[in-house]
Amino acid sequence: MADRELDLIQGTLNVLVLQTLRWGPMNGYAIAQHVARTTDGDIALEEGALYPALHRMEHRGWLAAEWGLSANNRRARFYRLTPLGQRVLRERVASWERLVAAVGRVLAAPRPVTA
Amino acid sequence: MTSRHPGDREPMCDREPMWRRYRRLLRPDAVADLDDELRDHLDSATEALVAGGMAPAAAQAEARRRFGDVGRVRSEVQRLDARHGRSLWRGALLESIAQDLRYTLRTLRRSPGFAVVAILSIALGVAANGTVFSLANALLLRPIPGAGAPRLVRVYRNNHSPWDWRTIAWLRDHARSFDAIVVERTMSMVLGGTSGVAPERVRVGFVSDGYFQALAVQLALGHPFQGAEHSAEGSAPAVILAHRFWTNRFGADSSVVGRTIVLGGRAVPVAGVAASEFRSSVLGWTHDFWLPLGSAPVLTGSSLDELGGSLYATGRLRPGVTRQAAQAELAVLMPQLAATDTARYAGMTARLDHVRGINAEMRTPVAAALAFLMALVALVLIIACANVANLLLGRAAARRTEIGVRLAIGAGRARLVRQLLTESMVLATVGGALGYLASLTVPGLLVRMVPAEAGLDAAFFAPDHRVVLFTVVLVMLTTVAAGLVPALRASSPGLAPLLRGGGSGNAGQGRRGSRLVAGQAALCVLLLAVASIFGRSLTSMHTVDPGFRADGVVDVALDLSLMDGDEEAQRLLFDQVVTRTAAVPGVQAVTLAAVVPLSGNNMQTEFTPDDNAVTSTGDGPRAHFNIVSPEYFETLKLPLRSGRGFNADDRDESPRVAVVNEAAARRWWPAGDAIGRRFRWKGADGPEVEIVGVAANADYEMPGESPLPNIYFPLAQNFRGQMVLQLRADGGVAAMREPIRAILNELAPTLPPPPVVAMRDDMAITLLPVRIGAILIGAFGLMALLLASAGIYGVTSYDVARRTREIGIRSALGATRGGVLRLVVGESLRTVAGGVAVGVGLALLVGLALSRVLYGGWIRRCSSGYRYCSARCRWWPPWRRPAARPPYRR
Repeated sequence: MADRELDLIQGTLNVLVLQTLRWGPMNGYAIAQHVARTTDGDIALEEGALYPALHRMEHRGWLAAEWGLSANNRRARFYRLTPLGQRVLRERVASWERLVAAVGRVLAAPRPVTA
Repeated sequence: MTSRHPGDREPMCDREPMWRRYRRLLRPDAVADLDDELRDHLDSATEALVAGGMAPAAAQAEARRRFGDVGRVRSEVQRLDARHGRSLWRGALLESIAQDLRYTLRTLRRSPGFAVVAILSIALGVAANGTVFSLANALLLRPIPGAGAPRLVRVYRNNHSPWDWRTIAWLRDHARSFDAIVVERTMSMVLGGTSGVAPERVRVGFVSDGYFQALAVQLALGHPFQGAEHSAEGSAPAVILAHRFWTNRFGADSSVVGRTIVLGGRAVPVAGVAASEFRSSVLGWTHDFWLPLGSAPVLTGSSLDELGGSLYATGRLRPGVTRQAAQAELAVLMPQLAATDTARYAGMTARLDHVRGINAEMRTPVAAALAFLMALVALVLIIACANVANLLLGRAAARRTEIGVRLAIGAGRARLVRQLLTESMVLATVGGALGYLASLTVPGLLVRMVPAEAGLDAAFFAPDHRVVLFTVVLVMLTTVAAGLVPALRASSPGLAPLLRGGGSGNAGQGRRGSRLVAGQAALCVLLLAVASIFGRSLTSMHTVDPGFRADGVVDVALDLSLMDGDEEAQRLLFDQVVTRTAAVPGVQAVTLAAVVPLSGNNMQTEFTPDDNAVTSTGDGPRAHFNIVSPEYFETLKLPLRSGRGFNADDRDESPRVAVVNEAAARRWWPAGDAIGRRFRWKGADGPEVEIVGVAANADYEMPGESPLPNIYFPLAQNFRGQMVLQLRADGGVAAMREPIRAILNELAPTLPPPPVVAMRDDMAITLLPVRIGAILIGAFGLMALLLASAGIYGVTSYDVARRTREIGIRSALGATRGGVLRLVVGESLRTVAGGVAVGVGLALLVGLALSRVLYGGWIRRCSSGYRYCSARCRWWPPWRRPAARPPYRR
């Protein structure tokens, strides 16, 4: 059970990261900042959890990474979406929307008629 | 979650050590990269908080708090990266191997001639090696097939001798280290002989009680010998059939138990059938069936004591008892035994040995012979490897442009070497697989080449895991041996100029190629010379003087106990048979003998020499013996050294006489005064026998054995009904079979027609190793000649092809065809002549070394001359081709 939950969280995190990277290459810190800012802190993300997710997605070919310099001239690793990553994002977003719509319909449904 | 893990490195606070920065110049450093990435995050977060007004220390702590457990994240990402890296590496490796394989297969398909020659060369080499190794495996390494019992040991008398029944029975009853000690001896007997069934020779094992149980031999049918069928002397016979015999004779009929076979005129019930893989407790004996030792006197007319001395003992140690402990117990027991009968047992010892392969007495010569064969086939394989290496070199030279281009565009040399090695690996693997399959068929061929009497069957050489492992190792060695040098040479960087020259052929290449050819010629001459030397010495062992002349002698086993009539009638019949047979045209001499030497049958006896005799310790006065009629020495052309042979005056009622051989005379009457001496036979109270002659030594058990003492007794004074009629006749078996059958049919119509065989066939079992050796060596010599010829042909034709342009220019400038031929043939011949000279030198050296080991002075027989001629004959096609070629064609 706990694993399933973890998978869900993992999957959600992946979607958040992929979506964030649509706006251009970013390093880990910027991704974390963007997610925190856009959700107004509603999703309490432990920033460290981002990195295993980033590396895993890189291995899968969803992301590509290259070294650059951050604002303060430090060596920083910038991730960007690969075409494969874009496709995955589209699929995930679509299925997410289907899920939300389905859940929404259930929540909005009238009281069932009992025989 | 900011607690520090003691083992973790802190990515943020400490400065990166200088050495790592430099190391990063050389190659990517995943750990440092990860640290950099995480440091960037934490530093950015800290800076942002400080910019928001927080104190630096607090900001740092807050950034870490938000991040979570740095150490855990770090190790998790590291783990992920490492896993990914491994799979990447594996994938890349597999991909490049697959690429090499595809490339190799493509190029091999493009030159099928090369591939076939190379693969066949290797297949021949591997087949030869595999065959010899599976022989070695069967003869030296494998435990008794079909005997499932653990902790089996062989028990030898003295160093590696068999036992007599009384002694081994005493040991069996007294030794506590063993669950069981069982014995077996082999004999040849005549089966059948009633109601018109043609009699046939069979080889039988006489075994002591508990034999099948002790060895844990599974029975396919029936039960092992039990109580009453066994133990005591004179027990009722019963047989357990060998699986093969059961299949051949009874069509694997499962109702065979309880039926009878006819043996020695008796109906003997079948008690069971042994499992198919079991042959005997002694490797090399292939028995048709087994009989209880206790029934031997009834069936053979010889007492257990006479049959003794040839009993091979196998013991099964008690659980937990080591061989050393059992050996120690025997060392204590033997003196106790000696105390019971000093004259008989003084100095006798017992030795334990493993049961792998053949018996210890034969192990050293067989191991030496196998080592020699192994060396021979190693040479064959080396020649095969040289062939393949030569061909690869030729191809590499032809592909120089391609390889140069690949090097120039940045292919790594290691990668090129690997790719070229892949080629030789593919060749070696395919060749090895073919060779292994071929070596599986060799035992069947061998079995067909030796007489059936030898009882050899192919299952004897069946390969097991050791043979497979050996072949795999061989293939790997071949890959390296054939491929490494060409691969290194071909990929060597000095090739760039060739890109410009377009492969004009350099002199160095040609010289090295011809050096290989010369080396090959040398090896081939060496191998052929050694093979012919050894083959000669084997055939000379085949025809080696066993002391008598077996060629032209025909054996007819007669068993008068199969017919009615008392001893007088039998004596009369024997006399008539001998007289009538001697009158057949072409017959030179006729005799009767109890045993045929070197047939695997032999009898031994104890005797009591007179007081003048020197009795040595260890074996007591014990000798082989034979019972013969007067013409024996003449028939077998066995010379008498002094005194006389037997004659018609040596009758039952006249004084008892005997002839001893030189070995016996020298052993017990070393003063040279054996003639006229007396000894008692069959115990101290037995009849007194006078020695009237000394015969030359002969071989009785093995060809080339060191002389064994032997005593001959006249048949007239020691009558027995089971004798072998031996006649020396022109035309041998083919001419004699019908006349002898006719005589016997007339004189003894009730006697079933006996088998008529050449004496050599009776001796087949003891000549078997020699025969197999001669066959194998001949085959290997032929293989080597074939391989070397193919190799020399291949290299020469390549060399000629390489020089087509040069030859063309020479022709254009006016060289005649004859001149070109002289040039090419002359160079080839010079090369081969050099190789042959070296080979002859080596062969002479090896021959000198071997001459100390082998028979005869045959060094002059190493006939390398005609083989050199045959090497020359391979020349003509390659040099004819370019000479006939128009000069303008490139």
